[in-house]
Amino acid sequence: MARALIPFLQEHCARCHSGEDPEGGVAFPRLAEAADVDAHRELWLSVLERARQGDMPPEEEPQPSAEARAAFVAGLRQALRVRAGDPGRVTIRRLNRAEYNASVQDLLGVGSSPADVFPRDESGHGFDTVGDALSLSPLLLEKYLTAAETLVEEALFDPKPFLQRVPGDQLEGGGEARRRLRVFASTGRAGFRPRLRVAGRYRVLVEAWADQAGPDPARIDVIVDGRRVASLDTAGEGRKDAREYSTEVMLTKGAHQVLVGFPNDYYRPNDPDPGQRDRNLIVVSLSLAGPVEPPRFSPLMQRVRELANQHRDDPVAATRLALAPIMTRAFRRPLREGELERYAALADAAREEGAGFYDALKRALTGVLISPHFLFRPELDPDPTSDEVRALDDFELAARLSYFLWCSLPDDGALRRAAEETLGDDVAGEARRLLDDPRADRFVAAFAGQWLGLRRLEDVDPDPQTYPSFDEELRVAMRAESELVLTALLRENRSVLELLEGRFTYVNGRLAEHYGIPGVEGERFRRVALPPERRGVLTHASVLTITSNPSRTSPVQRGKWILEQLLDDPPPPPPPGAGDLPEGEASGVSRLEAHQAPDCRACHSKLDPLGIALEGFDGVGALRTRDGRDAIQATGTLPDGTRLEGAGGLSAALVGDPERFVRAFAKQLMIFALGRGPQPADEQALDALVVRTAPDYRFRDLIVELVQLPAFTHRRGPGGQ
Amino acid sequence: MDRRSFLRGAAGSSLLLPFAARLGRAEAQPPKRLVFLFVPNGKHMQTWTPAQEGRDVELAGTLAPLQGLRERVLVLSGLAIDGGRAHGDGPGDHARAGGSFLTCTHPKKTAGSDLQVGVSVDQVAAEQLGGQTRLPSLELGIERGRQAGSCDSGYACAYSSNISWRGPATPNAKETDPAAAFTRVFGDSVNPERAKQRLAARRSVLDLARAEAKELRRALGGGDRAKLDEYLESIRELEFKLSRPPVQVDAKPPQGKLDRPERLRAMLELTALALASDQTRVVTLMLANAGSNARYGFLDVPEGHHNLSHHKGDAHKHAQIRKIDRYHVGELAWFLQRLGELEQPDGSSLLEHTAVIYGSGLGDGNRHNHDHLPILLAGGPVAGRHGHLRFERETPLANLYVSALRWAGCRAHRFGDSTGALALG
Repeated sequence: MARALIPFLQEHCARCHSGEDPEGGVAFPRLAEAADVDAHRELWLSVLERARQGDMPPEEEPQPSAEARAAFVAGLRQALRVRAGDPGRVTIRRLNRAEYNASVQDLLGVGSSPADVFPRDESGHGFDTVGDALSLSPLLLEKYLTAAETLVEEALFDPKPFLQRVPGDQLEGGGEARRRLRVFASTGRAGFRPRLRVAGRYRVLVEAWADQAGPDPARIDVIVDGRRVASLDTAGEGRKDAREYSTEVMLTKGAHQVLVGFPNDYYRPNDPDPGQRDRNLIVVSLSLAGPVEPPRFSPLMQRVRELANQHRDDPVAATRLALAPIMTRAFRRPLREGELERYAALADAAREEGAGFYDALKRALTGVLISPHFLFRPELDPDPTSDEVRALDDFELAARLSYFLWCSLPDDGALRRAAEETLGDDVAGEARRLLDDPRADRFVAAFAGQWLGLRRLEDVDPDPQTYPSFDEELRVAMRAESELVLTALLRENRSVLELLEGRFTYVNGRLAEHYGIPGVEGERFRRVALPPERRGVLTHASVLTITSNPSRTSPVQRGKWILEQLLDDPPPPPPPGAGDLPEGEASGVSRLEAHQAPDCRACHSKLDPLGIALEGFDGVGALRTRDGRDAIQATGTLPDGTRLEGAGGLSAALVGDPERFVRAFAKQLMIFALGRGPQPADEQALDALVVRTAPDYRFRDLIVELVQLPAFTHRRGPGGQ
Repeated sequence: MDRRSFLRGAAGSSLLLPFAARLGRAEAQPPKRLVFLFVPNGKHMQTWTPAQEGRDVELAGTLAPLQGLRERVLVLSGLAIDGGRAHGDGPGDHARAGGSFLTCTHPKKTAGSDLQVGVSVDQVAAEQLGGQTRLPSLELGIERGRQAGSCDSGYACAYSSNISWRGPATPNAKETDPAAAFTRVFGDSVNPERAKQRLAARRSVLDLARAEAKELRRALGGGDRAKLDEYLESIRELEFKLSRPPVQVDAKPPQGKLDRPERLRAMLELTALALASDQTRVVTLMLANAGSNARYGFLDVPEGHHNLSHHKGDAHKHAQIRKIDRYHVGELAWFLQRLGELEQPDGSSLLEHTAVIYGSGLGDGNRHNHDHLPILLAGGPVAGRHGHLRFERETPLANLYVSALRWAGCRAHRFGDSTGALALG
């Protein structure tokens, strides 16, 4: 700490923020300790932020002059070694759950999402892209291993079709084994348990004949996994009429049970006609074959297969030819010397143990999928002990871009341009290309899921007595609406200010009913004009629900959400013991009057009016005119006297200061894109983004500008810590 | 039998006989186990704390479900976790209550860039006891971590959704799906031949992964290396687990979608089975995440737990909090009962060889105090000294952990902010 800063601290801060019971629980270290800014870096960074924004000292205290404040801010910046244009240090990033799913889907062409059962990733600064917060536990590693094993089975199944034919006498279950046959003299079932390596449509074949008697023909039931999938009438009489009866069934990968059954026995031993005395079913064999239509492979897996088949007589070479393109893609860079050999050796060893070509290749691929080069995204510096700033190479840039905008690996095109060293020449063009691809929807889901908090919809649990209309269909529709709006703004390159004042949205039948929009039915979402009482994402049912308590709205939570997520102005947390609002008779707004107490007023005069303006919507975002007995008064008054009349007034007030919102929005984008918390050096970068995208602040433009910032295209080495 | 609620097999408590026989030969004395159960938001202390002290207290109020087990239960009043307090960091008591509950250290205030808290007591125990079992420790929970935003006043959510910390910056992720947890402990049913092949394949794959990680680690600097260390440690632990085949139990994982009470029951049953079959000796279970605002609709409590805990003396809210407190204690009683039923090879009950520590990192949810915590010890160490003890104020909860560690046979000079071992009467 520069000595020059100490008088300012003593004059303006120390009286409240020191000693046993400091204001807000925030105390500065003793002066002797204060010299070491790094020991309390977070604290000093927050001091810097508060001083810069003018939040401290509080307005009722004597204020420093503008010059003194500016000098303090500059001095503290210097002490904290805040360097303009510093890209900052980014901790190595492990793939988060969304990135893992997308990466394996793009790499292997599989449809499954194995990371859904992984433990939820910890997030830092609100996002699960922050490497510091992404830890790895034995539990997660175990899940990586089982996911890899399952994935390779799905991606690399043996293309040989499946056929299992079991003679009648070897079936398990009822009936009687007689010579090679299974004889059902009375009702019964028998079958076998096939294990399938690939899902698909399969044919069940029953080779059988019948002894007919009575009014109906003998019937064959086909029962798969406990469910009767077909009931087939036999024709003909006796062995001479033996024939195949068949049906088709969709089966998943894994173990199944296939049974043949005889459901309609008939036995009249005293019938005068010997041919009408006994009905029996005789099964020669039961078979399962398929898949009926060959499965489709991803282009990469198709290429792997072609290479492998061309060199089938030389499995050592074929393994390497097949593995190299997968590994290059999985590791997002050219392979290093000896690397291919190490992974291919897994397959060689498996073949020596007797595994077939594909099974052996699976083992190598399992190795790729749990490799730290796949699960982490290393950006290797020439000297790991240095903290020099360097430009990222083209492969590193390609990965940063694709994980930012696709939550996934770079595609072949990007890797090719990286190999040609042309990708870095046109980062903006590459970003536009990625944004034009449908995979950019993943960016919307991941970013909005965290910035707007849409992921929290999975966990909200509105009280069914208070909100009987809330159901699972609505929960899903709420999330879809907000994602679709963001997607539209992105695809049409519209202004991000429309997030605040947007006049269109997307609804399906369920959500339209919730909003009271007539004439929309069915599950399909379509673009509609927002009803006049709603404006922008703030009035989406999603946001209104996640900022509510289970059985009531919370104007405070809504206000806090606006300050934190939309304006980057998080209010300091309430003092200890402040507690919640009193419950009971009073409605939401009159309860807030308790916040007039001196301890509360400073922050709540800013918070509450924002939330009050949204009181016209209940805890699941439906329009309301009453809260309990009271009529809703959705008008808040800001400390400067601005009246916010309902959501419309709030929206207008927020849009009235566009730079403030755009800057806050850009900051969230930056954390998500870079995978690190904000740092003071980002301030200039954020200023630049605002200036360069003014006056329209279009969503795509903002992203394209962001990826050209030094913070995105460069990195600082970790230094020798 | 309810297909969803119970993992228990038809054979009931005798299901572990084959294992018991094996253990009987190897070890005369059944091993000691430790279980830590965390509840959020404090308790309604007036109905938690027994009126009297000493041996012959009646467990009434919130503790009433434990009355039948009173000789196995010791209520400890007056304990504190100083690390949970602000110490200049401002608000965030829920995050700190979670982060400090088993670490007894002060969690560093951070939005995620530099998590730091102590190694937790379960991991100290696992380090010393875990070498004997397939899983050094087992981390379970009922609620998954939060997926967006911060959890409490600028603290990263990691402090709120984990109580087990293997390193100062590394939480031990918890499993919240009972069926997946069951499979992790007892394996999936594959035939022995296939299991053998799979083991060989896994070994070779993990060998390569380790070699790759070591090499990559060398090329990285500073904090990045710590991330690779987590990877390497996890590989080691997984290899050890794979080297030991799981025990066969006559029980099935629960099927279908479970509601909250079913999930907790299943986790408690799994804990009992995992301990009884010696798959692990250390278990932590979060009955909810720190600061949880879960709605206990099945108890007719329509408000969120955290909202309610800020009761401001409101009698109606007290009544609702009591319902939640009582429900959690009831589940504890069920769990202790279950440990009592499971027989060890020498004929004693599993409960006699298990120390169960149950409690919250906050006292009264409204006051956010980190002293006078609701803490309860049950099982083995209580033998002959049950009842209610009141300690001098500011007695560190860490002292109880030192006692528990020593009871379990761990070397424990001190832990967290301990000042010694707790005198348990």
